[in-house]
Amino acid sequence: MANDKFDKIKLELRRGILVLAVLQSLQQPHYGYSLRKQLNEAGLDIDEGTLYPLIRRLAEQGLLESEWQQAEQRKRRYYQLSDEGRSVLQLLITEWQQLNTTLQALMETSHESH
Amino acid sequence: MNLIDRYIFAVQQYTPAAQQQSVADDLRDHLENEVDALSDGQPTEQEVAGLLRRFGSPEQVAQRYAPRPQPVKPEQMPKYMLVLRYVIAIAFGLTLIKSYFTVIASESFHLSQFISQFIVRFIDLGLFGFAVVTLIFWALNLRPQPQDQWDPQSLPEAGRPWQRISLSDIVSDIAEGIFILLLLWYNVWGPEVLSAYNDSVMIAPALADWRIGLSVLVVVAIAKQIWLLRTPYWTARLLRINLFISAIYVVVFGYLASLSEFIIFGSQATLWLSPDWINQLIRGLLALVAVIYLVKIVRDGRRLWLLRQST
Repeated sequence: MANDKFDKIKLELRRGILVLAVLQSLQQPHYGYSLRKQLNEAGLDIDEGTLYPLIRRLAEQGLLESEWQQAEQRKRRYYQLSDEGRSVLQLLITEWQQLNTTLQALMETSHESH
Repeated sequence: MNLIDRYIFAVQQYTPAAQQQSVADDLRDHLENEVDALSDGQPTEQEVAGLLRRFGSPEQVAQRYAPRPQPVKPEQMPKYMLVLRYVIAIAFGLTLIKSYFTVIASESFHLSQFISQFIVRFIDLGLFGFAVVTLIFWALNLRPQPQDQWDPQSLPEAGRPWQRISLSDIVSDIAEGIFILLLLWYNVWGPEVLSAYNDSVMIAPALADWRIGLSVLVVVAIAKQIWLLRTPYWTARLLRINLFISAIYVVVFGYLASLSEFIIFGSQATLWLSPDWINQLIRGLLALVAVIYLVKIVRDGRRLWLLRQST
């Protein structure tokens, strides 16, 4: 039961940072599978059914640019941050760092009080 | 590869037409890249099936790629379900009345025919009500709802449960008003049944004279209830308005209860109840409404007094 609750909260936590992770990774061009592989190798296990619709949504919002490129056997769509995406990423990184600092301070305070 | 074609084709079925091609292109690109990474690009059918299962069912994937707007927002769902319940109750009541009048206008009565007609009419009217309510909620959701247009200082004092007006009470009063309006103007929406009567059943002229005045009264009461949806708690101003409306109701319904006849039945009408009994029943109902509003006057007068004491 405790594990179920932990899994649910973990999922919500990861969902929140997913956009940040994807935008950060797409500072370099990637196609869908290569992005997923990179995120997996970095320790962020994300399933296909979540990542690919997210990429599409970010592209529709204008945060990503996409381009079809010829690979060995077929064309592949490569995604990369747009100028707007770059600005949003900077804001998100600042926000993330502030949150991290706040949380760190909170955890240290509660650790000392115990 | 056949499985992938079938999968994309199935996803397109749940995707809006304008986005079908772009979703299919996106999906094919990702799927083919994933397949390339499986067993050096030569996966078995089981491996491809496993990959597709991880992507999700065609319906799920279509919803994630191109979410369809919901006619009713999740936060509106309790209100929507409540309104729907009352609309279905009104449909039931009206169908019952319509079926009863059809029976008394006909020359013979067959229970099976009555039940089958009732079921068909109830489904017909219920579906109509369902469609209207859903359309109204959908139309209201088209307009962005301003969440900050409320004033914390206008909230009622805590600790007075009677000052809160439940959503259920508001909606039931609106439903009651609509039901009364529909009964008053039955000849407008139920002409096919009326023509079948051959003038067997008519509203008495004395009551018919009051129809417009009564309708205005009911419409004002409905408008007040709709206003309550925005501020669902009793304030001094609202209580004064309510007292005024209730006083008019008492006078009007008290007078109507004193009339001698409400419905005139022709000789062709075949009745289960005697005309006198039906008129007595209507008189009793009208008197009951007058008494209920008299009780409401006492209740609201006391509430107004309590509010004045606390300020």
